[in-house]
Amino acid sequence: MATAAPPLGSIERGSDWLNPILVKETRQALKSRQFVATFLLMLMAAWMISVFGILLAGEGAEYRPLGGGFFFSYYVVLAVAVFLIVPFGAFRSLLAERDLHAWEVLSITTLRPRQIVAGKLLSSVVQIFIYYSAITPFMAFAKLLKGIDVPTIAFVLVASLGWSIVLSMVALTISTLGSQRFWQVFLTLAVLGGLLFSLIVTLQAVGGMMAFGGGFEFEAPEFWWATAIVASMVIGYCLLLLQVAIAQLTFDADNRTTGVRLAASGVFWMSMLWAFVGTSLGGSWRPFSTPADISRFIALFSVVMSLHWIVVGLFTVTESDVLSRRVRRSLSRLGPFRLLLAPFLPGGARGYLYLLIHLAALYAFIAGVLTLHGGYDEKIMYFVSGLLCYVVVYMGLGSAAGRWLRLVSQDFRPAHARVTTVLALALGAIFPYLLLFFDRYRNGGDMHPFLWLTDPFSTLIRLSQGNSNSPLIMLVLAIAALVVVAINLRGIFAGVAEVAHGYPVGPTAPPAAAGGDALTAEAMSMPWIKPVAEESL
Amino acid sequence: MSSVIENSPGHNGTPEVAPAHAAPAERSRPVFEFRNLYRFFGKLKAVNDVSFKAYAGQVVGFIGPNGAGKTTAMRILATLDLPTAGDAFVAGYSVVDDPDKVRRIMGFMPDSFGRYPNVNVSEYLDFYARAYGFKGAARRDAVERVMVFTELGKLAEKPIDTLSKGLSQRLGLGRTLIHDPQVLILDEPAAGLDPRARVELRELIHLLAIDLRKTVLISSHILTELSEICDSAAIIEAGRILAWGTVEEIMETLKGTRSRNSVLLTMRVLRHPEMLERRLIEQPFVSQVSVAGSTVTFQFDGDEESRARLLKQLIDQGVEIVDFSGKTESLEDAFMAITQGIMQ
Repeated sequence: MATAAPPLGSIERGSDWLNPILVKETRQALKSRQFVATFLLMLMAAWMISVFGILLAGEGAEYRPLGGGFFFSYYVVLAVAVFLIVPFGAFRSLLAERDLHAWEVLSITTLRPRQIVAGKLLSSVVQIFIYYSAITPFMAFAKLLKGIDVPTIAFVLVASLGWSIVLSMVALTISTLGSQRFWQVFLTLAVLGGLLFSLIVTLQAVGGMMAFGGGFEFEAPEFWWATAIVASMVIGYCLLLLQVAIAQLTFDADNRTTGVRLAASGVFWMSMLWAFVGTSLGGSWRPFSTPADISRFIALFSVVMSLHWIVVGLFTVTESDVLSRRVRRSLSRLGPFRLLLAPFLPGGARGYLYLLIHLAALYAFIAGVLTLHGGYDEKIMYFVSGLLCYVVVYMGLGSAAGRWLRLVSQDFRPAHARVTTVLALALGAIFPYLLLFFDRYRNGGDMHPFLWLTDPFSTLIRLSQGNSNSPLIMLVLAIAALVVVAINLRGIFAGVAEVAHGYPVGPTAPPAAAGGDALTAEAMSMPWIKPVAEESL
Repeated sequence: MSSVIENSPGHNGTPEVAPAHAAPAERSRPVFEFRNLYRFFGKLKAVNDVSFKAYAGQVVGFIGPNGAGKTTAMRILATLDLPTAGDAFVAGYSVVDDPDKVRRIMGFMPDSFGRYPNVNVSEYLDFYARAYGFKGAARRDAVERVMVFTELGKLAEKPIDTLSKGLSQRLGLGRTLIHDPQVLILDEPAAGLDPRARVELRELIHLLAIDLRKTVLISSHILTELSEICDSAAIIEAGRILAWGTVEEIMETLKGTRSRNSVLLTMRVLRHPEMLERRLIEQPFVSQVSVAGSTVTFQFDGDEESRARLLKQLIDQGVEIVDFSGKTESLEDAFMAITQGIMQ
């Protein structure tokens, strides 16, 4: 006779609402020798620090403030676990998932890449909390020894928790970058080296803080402003990394781009918000007391934001322009808003449009802030304008080169376009030095500033220092930027039209498949040539 | 229906065959279909205009030498790769356009799959049940159903990285069945299995097709094995489908390419096989004579009377025949006859 299955327990029922990866990873971690050994070693180390520390301190323990020293000793033990072992475990876990051929069967379940990455990250967080639970009683003991207060301990522990999550996120993202054995070995060494470096730097920072008395100025509003800015930027970049990891784990034909572009855009607008708040703050605490301070800050801000867009742009402008069938199908769901979302959809030309829109916003913001606060400085404006022109020129060249070279060979991939863009920038920077090498014998090395134009670094230094040629240099750079935009204009138009119509227009249409001598357009079943019949079988 | 593609296109140029036991409604609705599928890797045409379809309860063998394009085509059907052109459909859903819908009704078992450390059999199946969105009692039922079917219940607590190859394949099949898919894509499931495990796997696949009405696409190098499991087969070489149909149809086609009465005969003689070889060469209807030790094998295209006459004549000539037998054409023979050993 069949017996009824026992009812599900509350934990079992509750686990239904948890990420499946988190459930699996937690089960695995709790059974793994590495986890158990780390946990026991941590307890043993903390216990030995307590016993031998008190023995060494002798009678001094009763009247000397030893809490700071003890806290730091416990912190070292915790740091090894949460800054080294946990992030490296997250890295290995996702790498092994792909290496074990488990990835394929996992990727065709209903789990999304977002859930997989989030599950791995959450399992890291669970491990961090378990390690914290082992060490926090000892830290409470350190407080009893005097020399360190509860807010400091709490702040350091919360900040360390955040930092450990950041490191785990970085490690997870890096683990998605290499699928070949060589790259995996290289990335493993790089991650291990990076984690060791960050561990040493973190310990030095916390150790230094303890050596100088340890206390934070919790009462000062600027402390909390700074904390909020740093925390929000770190969270923003973590979300960007999360999107990058998700994109790496998403199938080629799916939309791997929109999430990354939205996250990069979000970080950018948040940065501008903080920059605006920072330059507008008044009252007792003003980070920038004079217009000159604001100008200098804005110059630095423009460099940081340009770097942000160069890195993001390298990936967005070099993508293949053609929308995959899967992405095209999803366009209909966007309805009338799809044109507005065109810059966020996959494709190099649309990526360049996305870049131009954000660079224009950055320029408007900088000009606005400088004008608003009386910090308008011609040299700074030349520098910022020149910098943005260079980003427009080199990213535009990369986008156009990728588009043209793909027409020559379909084997030319986005990674090749990225390398081409970086090489173009490197050659542009080196070229004047080659001229200088030959020119030195004729003119004693005194080259006209125009001959340095391809090198952004020396030209930008000239512009920031002020020069009689600055207006002319700026004019040439602006014309160059307009020419490069014009070169890309047809691709941008085709990219936007593709979104509007749902099929490729003009130069974005792909050539016939390489080696496809037997293939006609009909045989290729390309929907923009012959619509696929939605036949019900 | 003939089974060679060039001679027998179905509608839309797609060859088709339905299992004998299929109900009329099932025969009209293919469960999966490859439609003019192409997949190129640079200049390599891994899959080159592949078209065929299968119906409910059908077990289709996908046969071809290494590098023929079997795994590539299967991966496309499993939504793990995209075609350069063409499409594949599972229950009417395109693998290109509707991968999520396809994944809900399709199970894929690759030739090898990862064995997580520190996970036992029931936890492994539980994880995949969760990954397919099962909750609560439905999840537990799905795990139990699969463990009963694969007879892994007794090993529920056994770590999966300690399972034998046979049990691992059984677990892999269980994992593939966890969401009760209509279509199973099994890539070399019998590779590396011992004879007992092979028989057990064969029985499981048979049960899936006959009792549970699953449609199975299975690739294997062990052709004798496939001929016992499959009711139809597709032979692929250099990315192209060379033949497709029921196993019997492929055999018939093979005979048609030779002669209606063509048969492979084997004789074992007591002594002087070379003398038998010389005599055979002189006989009508005899070709492709080969000698291996005391055994002589040859192709005979005559009818049964001619065959009897030949035997009598040889005995009269003093050939000391110990054994005389005709060899039935197998799927392996068909494979060897149809494929040309083309390497890409």
